[in-house]
Amino acid sequence: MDFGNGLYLWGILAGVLPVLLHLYFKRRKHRVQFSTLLFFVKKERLFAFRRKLYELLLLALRVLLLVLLALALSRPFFKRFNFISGGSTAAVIIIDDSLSMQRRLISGGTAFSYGLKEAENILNSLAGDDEAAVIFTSGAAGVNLTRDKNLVLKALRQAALTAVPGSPGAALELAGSQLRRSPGVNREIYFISDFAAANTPRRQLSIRGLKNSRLYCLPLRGSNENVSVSAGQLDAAPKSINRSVDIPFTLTNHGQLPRQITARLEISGKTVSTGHFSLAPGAVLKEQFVYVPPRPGRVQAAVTIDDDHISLDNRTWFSFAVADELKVLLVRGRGTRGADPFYFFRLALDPAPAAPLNGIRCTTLDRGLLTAGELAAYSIVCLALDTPVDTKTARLLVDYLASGGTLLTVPDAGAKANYCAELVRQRRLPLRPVPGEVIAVADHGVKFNPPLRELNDLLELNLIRWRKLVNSGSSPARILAATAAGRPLILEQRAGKGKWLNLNFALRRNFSDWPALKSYPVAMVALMNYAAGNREKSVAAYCGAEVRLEGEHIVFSGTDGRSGVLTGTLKPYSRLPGILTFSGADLEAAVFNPNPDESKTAGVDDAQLRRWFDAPVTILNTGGEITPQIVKFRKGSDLTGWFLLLLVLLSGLEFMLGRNKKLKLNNVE
Amino acid sequence: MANRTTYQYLPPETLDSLRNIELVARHLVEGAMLGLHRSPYHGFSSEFAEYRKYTPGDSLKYLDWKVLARTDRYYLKRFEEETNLRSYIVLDQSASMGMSDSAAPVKFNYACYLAAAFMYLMHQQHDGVGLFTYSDEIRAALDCKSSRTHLMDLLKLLENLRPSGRSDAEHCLKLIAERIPKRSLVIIFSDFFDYQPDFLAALHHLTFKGCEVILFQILNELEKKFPYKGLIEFEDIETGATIDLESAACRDYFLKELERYNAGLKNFCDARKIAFETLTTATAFEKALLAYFSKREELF
Repeated sequence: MDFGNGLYLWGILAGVLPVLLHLYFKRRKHRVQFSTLLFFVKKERLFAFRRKLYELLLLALRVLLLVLLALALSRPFFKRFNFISGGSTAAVIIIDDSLSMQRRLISGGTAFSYGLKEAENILNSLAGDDEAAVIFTSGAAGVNLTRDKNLVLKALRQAALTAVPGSPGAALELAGSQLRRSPGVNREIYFISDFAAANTPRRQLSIRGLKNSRLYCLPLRGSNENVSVSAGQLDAAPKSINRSVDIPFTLTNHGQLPRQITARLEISGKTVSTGHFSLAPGAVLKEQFVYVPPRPGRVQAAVTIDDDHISLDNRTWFSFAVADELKVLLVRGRGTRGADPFYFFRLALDPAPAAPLNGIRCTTLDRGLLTAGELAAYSIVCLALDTPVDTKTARLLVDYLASGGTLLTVPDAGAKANYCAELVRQRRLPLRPVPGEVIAVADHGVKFNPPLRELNDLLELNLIRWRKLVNSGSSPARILAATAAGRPLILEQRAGKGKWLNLNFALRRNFSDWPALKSYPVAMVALMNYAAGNREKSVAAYCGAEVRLEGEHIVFSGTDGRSGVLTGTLKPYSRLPGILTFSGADLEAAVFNPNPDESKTAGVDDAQLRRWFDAPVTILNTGGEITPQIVKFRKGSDLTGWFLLLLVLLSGLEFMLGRNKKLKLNNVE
Repeated sequence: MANRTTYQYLPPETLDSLRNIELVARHLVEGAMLGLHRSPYHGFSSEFAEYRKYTPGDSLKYLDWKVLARTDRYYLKRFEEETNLRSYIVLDQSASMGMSDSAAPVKFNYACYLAAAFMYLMHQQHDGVGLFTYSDEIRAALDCKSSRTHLMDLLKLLENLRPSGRSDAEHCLKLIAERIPKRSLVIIFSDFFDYQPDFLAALHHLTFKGCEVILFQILNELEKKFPYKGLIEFEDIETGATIDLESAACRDYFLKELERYNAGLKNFCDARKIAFETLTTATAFEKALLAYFSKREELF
């Protein structure tokens, strides 16, 4: 409670006057001798109580009348918070600039534009000496506390929506740290947001520590209707020309109305495929477009939908590299005699040399012709040896592995134990000895481990009968595949930037009947795709996420038309969905899409909103102008009228009581 | 009245107004001397009552010789005896009777005026008059006589009486009832404000003895109208107890309670054929007496 004319509060002292008068007149009580008090004995207590009650009531009324008069004259105001009149105010305006603020309000505009307008009104409500700051929940650059309102105004007018997930906690923390440093005695935080339920903090946001502070929330609740499209995970297989690529996406109806949605696949801005989908309220639909790239190069794709509500989540981006073919070098041992160790293997991977149907081109080479330059041209080198690797070849292969190549070693018909020992002996890479002796076995089947587990479901691998295998003993290498009895079939080791896959079985029929089975080519193609690794030099991330790039002079260009030399982090360029492509960096592209949670439009009600914070908050009403609300909260409610009304009522009561008393006296007279 | 010609409670103007008042007892009373009042004892006075058959041993003095001569039968003549009245004035001398009222005499003085008037009237009729005064005990007691000297003694005594002490009517009236002869006239002057309600039982003793009892309740205007205003500390004259009262607020209550109390007394008296009269000191006592006697005469 505060007072407009505090000087009148001295008038409260007049409240002692009735008390003094009461005491004075109390001493003038008459004493009368009476013949008998016989009739009063029974009712003495009642009369005494009634008299005292009457006196006290009248006295209290009179004291109250004078006190009320003094209070009414002093213009009392009631305030929910402490607001020191005359003290300077520091106000921090937190604006939610996340995707969901693009929702439409009943007034027609977006919640974000309305919020900016109200932020300007808040700014205008501050006095000249007051400080103001603006903070965006997305982490976008705002303005620290300053008396220069124009600076804040400029920041507000330049503010734009982003697809970066908002962090109310971080914004509030920043606001708190700024207010703590502020000399303003009155501290105000204005939080303008749609307060989407998806952003509900896991722990209560703390504002209790901010002394003399007030938190005002302006919840902008508009339409919850929204359909979003989000990108699915592209498979890791290398993409090559003329081979279909699945482009998965998810459609979600966040609203309460059923929707008919048209989705389009756009490649480099041109629509190549269209789909029509019905979405029930709350439905989540996982779909995919199929695209066959006609030429090599980096593909920039987007799945776009038509939705009149929030537009920032109407498009989801993809980027992937399409290669001509996967080059595999098949290296035969010097001592290889008779049948070609890669006969079935080549037939499986590259059955038609004129056109690589599987996107794999195989080239066969004798071990003696192996050179560093030759190796660098291939993604995978497959080595089938019947004699141990010599030192020169081992050195070449270790260099190849160190530079990121993939080496596949398989035993040939007359393979000796430890034929790869020289690779390990080089000691330039942390390779562990894997191959052992060839042993006779009677086993069956293949059981693939992740990431090739899907093959177990696709192929009839239990038809395979094993006759011989290389015994790899207790090798610590990762087992990618094993027989039904658990004997390792394929082992994997990381080797520098590359990897070394060691097959314990020959690629021909002398170890098993697998090369003659239909599962063989499928499994070998999958193995090669895996061995080639994800050659995709792009990264997919949510807008605003950290993406690290390596390179000295990185030039970027974006789907939004921006380009330039990259300085600092990617964050400033990733606030909106799109693709950034780079040159001079270890990555070729970065794809930024909104976090799907940001598209959830369901908001929280006032009670839920209050639970976000660990201290009382004032929720401003968006139904009318908020400036008068703020001014009212600052100044409080003028209670003068109420005090005067009470004064009149009590005066009437006092008059009635006093008149009643006089009437009784008149009766006696 | 040899030495003094006037008494405080019997001034000459009172004597004029009392001249024509004659107290007639409603009941037969027993008296030692002949007077206006009929006696239940058949004696041998001048007024013939009836004949009775002679029985051996009767005195021949009252034998009716004429009847004997005519009828040859022995009859005795019986006469109805006229007797004088024994009356007793009982005066409440407790402190409450001393309550003053600026516009009227003190209640006790008013009672004394009335008592003096009754004494004078009794004396004029040759009836004997006695006096008892009491508060917490019997303060004064003069036996019943009809002589002029006795009247003067009574009047002198009245002048010397002052109200004081607490009232113990129950105890005192019982003692007085024991000392008063049967079939006497007992006139009690009091305000009858007694904390012990059993004093009514003592009145019952009097009526049981065949006495005619007349109660005069003496109140003053302050008690009758309770005209106080403002906060007043009332002090009980007898007990000294005090109580703070918003007088205007409890006025109605007091008057209602007083009326209820008096109604109770009246009911009690009516049930026992006791006359009960409430007089206020504002009324001239002569007028009060005249009004009372005229009312009594209507009853005979």
